[in-house]
Amino acid sequence: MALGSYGITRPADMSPEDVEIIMHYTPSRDVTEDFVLKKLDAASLLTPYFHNNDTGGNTNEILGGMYNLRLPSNEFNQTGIYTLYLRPAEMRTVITDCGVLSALPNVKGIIIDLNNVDPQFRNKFVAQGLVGFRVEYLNDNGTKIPNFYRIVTSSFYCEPVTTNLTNSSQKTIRYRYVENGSDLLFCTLSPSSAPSNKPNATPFIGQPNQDIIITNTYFNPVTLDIEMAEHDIDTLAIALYGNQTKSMEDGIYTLYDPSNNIYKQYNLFEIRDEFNNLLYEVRQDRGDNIDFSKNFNNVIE
Amino acid sequence: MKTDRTYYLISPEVLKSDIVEETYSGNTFGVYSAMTEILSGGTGGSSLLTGLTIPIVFTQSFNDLGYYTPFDGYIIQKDVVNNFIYSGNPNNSFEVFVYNTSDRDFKKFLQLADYVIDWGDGSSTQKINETAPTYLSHTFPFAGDFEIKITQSNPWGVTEVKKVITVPMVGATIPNPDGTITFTPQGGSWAGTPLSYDYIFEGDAENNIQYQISSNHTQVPFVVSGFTTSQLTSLSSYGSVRYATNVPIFQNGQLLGVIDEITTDYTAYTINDIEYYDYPDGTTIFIENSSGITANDISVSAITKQEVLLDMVSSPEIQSEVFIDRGKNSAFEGLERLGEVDNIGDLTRYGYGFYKINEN
Repeated sequence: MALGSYGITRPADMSPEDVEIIMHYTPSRDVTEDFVLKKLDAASLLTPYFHNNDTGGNTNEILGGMYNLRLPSNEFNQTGIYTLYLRPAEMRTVITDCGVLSALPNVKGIIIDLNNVDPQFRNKFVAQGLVGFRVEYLNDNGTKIPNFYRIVTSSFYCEPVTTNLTNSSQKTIRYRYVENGSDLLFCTLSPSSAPSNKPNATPFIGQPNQDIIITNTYFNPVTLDIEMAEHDIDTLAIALYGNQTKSMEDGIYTLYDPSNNIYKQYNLFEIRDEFNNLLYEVRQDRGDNIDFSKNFNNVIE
Repeated sequence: MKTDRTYYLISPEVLKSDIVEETYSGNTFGVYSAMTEILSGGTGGSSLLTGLTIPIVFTQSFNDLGYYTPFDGYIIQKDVVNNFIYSGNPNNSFEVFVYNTSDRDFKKFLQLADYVIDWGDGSSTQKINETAPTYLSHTFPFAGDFEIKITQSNPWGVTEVKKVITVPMVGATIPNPDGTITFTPQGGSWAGTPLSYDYIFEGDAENNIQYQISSNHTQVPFVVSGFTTSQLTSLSSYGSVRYATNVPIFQNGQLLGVIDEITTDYTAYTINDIEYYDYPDGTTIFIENSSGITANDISVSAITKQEVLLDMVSSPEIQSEVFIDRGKNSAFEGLERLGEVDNIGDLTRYGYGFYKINEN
């Protein structure tokens, strides 16, 4: 027997439609109640990178792993802390029935009616299209059952058949697989078999008419902490170490970056009382009212 | 599944568009705008940073779903220690039949168990002495949800199974279980008029697991070719002429192959329908046609999963393996296994003192 190991992390190559972006905004770290929480359109904001001639693949081949995320200008329009939570898209539907296969009654599963699926996600609800997807369950009151999920291990189109049990008074629906032409999908889940020390404890896989959330597992959720800041180390260094001029005629004090671009401009003046005693020395930000004549080259010429 | 977290700082340090170019007295220079102005200076208070993008990386942690076993699920069919099923009476929606499906036939230790059913409507409990197909019936006095509970009392403990039923019981809705056939006559007075009929096709009740298999083969075979080592010696014959063309070579009564052509440039031969060409420089190429995985290669079985290998097994199952192994450590030790326990002394000896028995 050979021994070996393999990695279990791979670059994801999902479609942007498989992603859901939740944006959280707060103007500061200590504001915990006045926040914005909303969903952004991942399909229009997320773009996968593709190979080019220098990366070794075809130009129509997705690079894998690396995506470009556009931060929309109508949302990212304030300074503060934006937290983006990128997670697999949630597909909400309802369990039509729970049943077993007609010829394989030990195979249990949930049945989903495609008519109860959002049309944008219906392309996933095909034969074997949901394998690896996660199923989470909602209570009747709309709350989610926490810390509980099942994994879809197979999904096939199916149709109901009636089965007579040993007792003629008993009738039940079972399901059989069909190639296509059905609106019903039979999904087997894991785990669905009972532990051997308590065989009657059949794992819960859902109930008819129960609302469920189906999510893909194409990628691990990603959290981006994006801080829109007024100042940073570079601009503080400009204030400390950059070129500066002070006009003695009008008191305009100007700070320059390493390329002598004007970073900030201030009015410097004094406030005195009627006896000409100095009360204050003032530095006032001129804001947008920049005196362009104070550009560095003009001053030192 | 882990969540990656990344921190980005969007500030003048990483922006170029916050520097606006100006010209004064022939000098061209830039002037910074404040971040707050950049972020809200657009139409309707939107940001001027319309091209703000960041590259991000997604990864996927995966487990292999490809481990299957045909035995999954049979556990619930074979190892029923305490369970029951119920059905309704089509002539009386308030009457319920309950079948004790505990597997007393194959689990002899269950013969030590007593079963009591509580119908959940306040009526007195009943003792069950038989298992399915013998059943117990009960007529509920009023409508509502009732929790039926079967209590199994064993020398080693008590187990309960509860199921909630709704009375009056209603039949399940079966959406067109028979299927519908529709045909349109091409002639006669009904020509062009579609007629439909609910119909059970022959074989409808058979769930053929072939349905689970997709086709991996092509109708037109494709060429598979490459380099290999010479196979010519397997076509040698006895006698003075070891290699002759167009002479079929048999092995164990079956046609093995034939040498097609011997020239100064190459030797061509066929073995088991694979064409080989040996060249004077010692290289050999083979050419054969393939149709992919054909029906001949497919061995079908039900798709079920081995949950142990999916990391999806609940911890009690793992404990159960330890539980069973307890009795296998040595054939000479005086311990009892679960199926052999039928008195207090056995309980004391069971599984290295698994139960703590207090003697008063």
